[in-house]
Amino acid sequence: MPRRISINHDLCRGCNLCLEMCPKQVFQESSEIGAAGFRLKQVALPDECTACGLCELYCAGAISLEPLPPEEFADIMAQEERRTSTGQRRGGWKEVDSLLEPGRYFMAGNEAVVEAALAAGCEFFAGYPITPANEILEGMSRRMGETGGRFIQAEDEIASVYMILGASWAGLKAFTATSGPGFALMQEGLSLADMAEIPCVIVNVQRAGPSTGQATRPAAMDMREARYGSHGGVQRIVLYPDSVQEVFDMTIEAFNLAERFRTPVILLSDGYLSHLAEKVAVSGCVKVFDRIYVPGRPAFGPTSDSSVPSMPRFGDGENVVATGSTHDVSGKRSTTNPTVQENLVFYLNRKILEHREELVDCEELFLDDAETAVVAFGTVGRSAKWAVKEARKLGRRVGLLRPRIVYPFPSQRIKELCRTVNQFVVPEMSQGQMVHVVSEKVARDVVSLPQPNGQIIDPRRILKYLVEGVW
Amino acid sequence: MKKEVLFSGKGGQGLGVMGRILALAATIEEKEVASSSSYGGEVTGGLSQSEVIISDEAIDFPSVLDPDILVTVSQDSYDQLISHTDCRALLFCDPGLIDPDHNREGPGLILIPAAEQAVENFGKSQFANMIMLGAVVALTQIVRPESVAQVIGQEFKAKSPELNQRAFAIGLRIGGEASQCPVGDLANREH
Repeated sequence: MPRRISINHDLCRGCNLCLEMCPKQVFQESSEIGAAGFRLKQVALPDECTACGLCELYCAGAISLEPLPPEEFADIMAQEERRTSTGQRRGGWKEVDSLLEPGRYFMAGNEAVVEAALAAGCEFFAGYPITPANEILEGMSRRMGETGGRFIQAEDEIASVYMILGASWAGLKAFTATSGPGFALMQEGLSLADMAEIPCVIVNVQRAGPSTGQATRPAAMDMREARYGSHGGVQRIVLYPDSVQEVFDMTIEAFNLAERFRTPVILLSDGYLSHLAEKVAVSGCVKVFDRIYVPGRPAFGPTSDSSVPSMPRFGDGENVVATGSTHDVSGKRSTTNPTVQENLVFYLNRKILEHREELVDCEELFLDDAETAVVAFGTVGRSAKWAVKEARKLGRRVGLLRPRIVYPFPSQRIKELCRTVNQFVVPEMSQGQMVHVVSEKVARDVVSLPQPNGQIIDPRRILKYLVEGVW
Repeated sequence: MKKEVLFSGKGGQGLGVMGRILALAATIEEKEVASSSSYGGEVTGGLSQSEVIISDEAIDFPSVLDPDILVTVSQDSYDQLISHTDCRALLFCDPGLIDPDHNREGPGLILIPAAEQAVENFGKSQFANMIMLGAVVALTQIVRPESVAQVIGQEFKAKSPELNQRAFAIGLRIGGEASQCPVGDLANREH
């Protein structure tokens, strides 16, 4: 949508880059010759301007695009809505037939990711091989050929993440899969996805680190990175299942959440869960959410009610700039205005946090009268469940809280538990990461049970702690 | 009933396949099953393990804690397992690949010359895993042999299901013969 274009002739160097760069030929040379001895530029076709900002970007400072006053802006938005009203509104919940025959399957965690992604409507995968996530890349290369989607083995993880972001703007549901070292490389792309509100799913099959560490061994060492790894640190949605059935169900959920909130969603797995094979029940119909598109609506926040804005795709005819720089609702860059910056950052958090009640999903066991609560995530939850059940048999008042959605962290639920619980125990396949998140939320004794040895935690070890207090 | 099975050896010996076939056979019988494998970075030649848990009830912890059946087909894995486990488990090993400790106390050392039989019958040792699996199934009845044969038919559809089924049948026979004598004597049996 148009902007007010102004040219400061004192700063113009006569380089003609504005003429070169403008895809709509908005600028022309005038016959007037300036003080420096070259022809001055003028705005010849202001109505053609799409506010892409290329002129401003390339100009040495003479050209500036200014937002229109609100009433003029509203007029233009109304015009724009009429112009594109021939387009169809699309998106929302729908039910689709499962690609797999309904029934019981026996599959490994990584296979479940592949099948569930296809069930959720994924049509694009880009990735780079890394243990222990390889079977996902391998499976997608085979299955995309069968289902008509696109598969690209990229040159590295940085390229992978940007490819899925591009595919997402082209209207496809897209994901990539990696492990710790690759996930670190993807962080920059993820912050672009945060800023430009690009729905996508990243599966991080965690392995023992730091760095290349022990490539084939499981760990949960990216629990903080998944939330805070990216520049800017806006709210993330992070899921961590504990069984192959949950991997299947939560992969579909990850796509749905990404599309609903227009945000990257991280699905965590680990070197154990990825190769664990269990039964998976596949139902005949899958509930999926497609991103909402309303022709003519602004493509970015902030929205006044923190709702998620309409997302067009390339080719819809909307004039949209997708940028990682601070921008207004049309995507126009605004790189110095403090109000625009602050409103945007608060909005990116709010659009998720204002729905946080919907984003609480915990498995709970024996918490009604528990004095000690084990808080476990993902695979460690399996060890913890065994240990808690055994401890109950020995008469200990212990319970289990396992958030399937790790972030937004279920703060409210864990605070409620403080009525009976006086000690929280956090076993982890790391040096202790989530223990800090738990202790941030509760004014109770919080004990870390760290095990960063590249092995899943022997449940008898947790039981020993619950009974004898020894780790 | 809950049975925990651990296959252990070197990468490349087909331990993952043994675990997978056994697990799939148990799913046919509507049991709860969890199966996992672990391997080193080098894949072929490094220590490799495959675990299967078969239970009538939901499986809380999906890894082996207290094995009922151990199958080991390399000296390294044998040495490692023997020092870590008590004598409750049945221990299957291949005497062609391992020099077992005959002084091991308890009932459960069972010697199955799978590699030797594979070379004798097929000219190559790669069918040893199915022979070993046949012997394990015959001696423990952890799943029905028909279930395993059916799974082999499905899983090796593109390769050679007949040869693998024959190898499995040879294993069943060896296991059947081994079960004729008391388990305690198995350790000292001449092969």
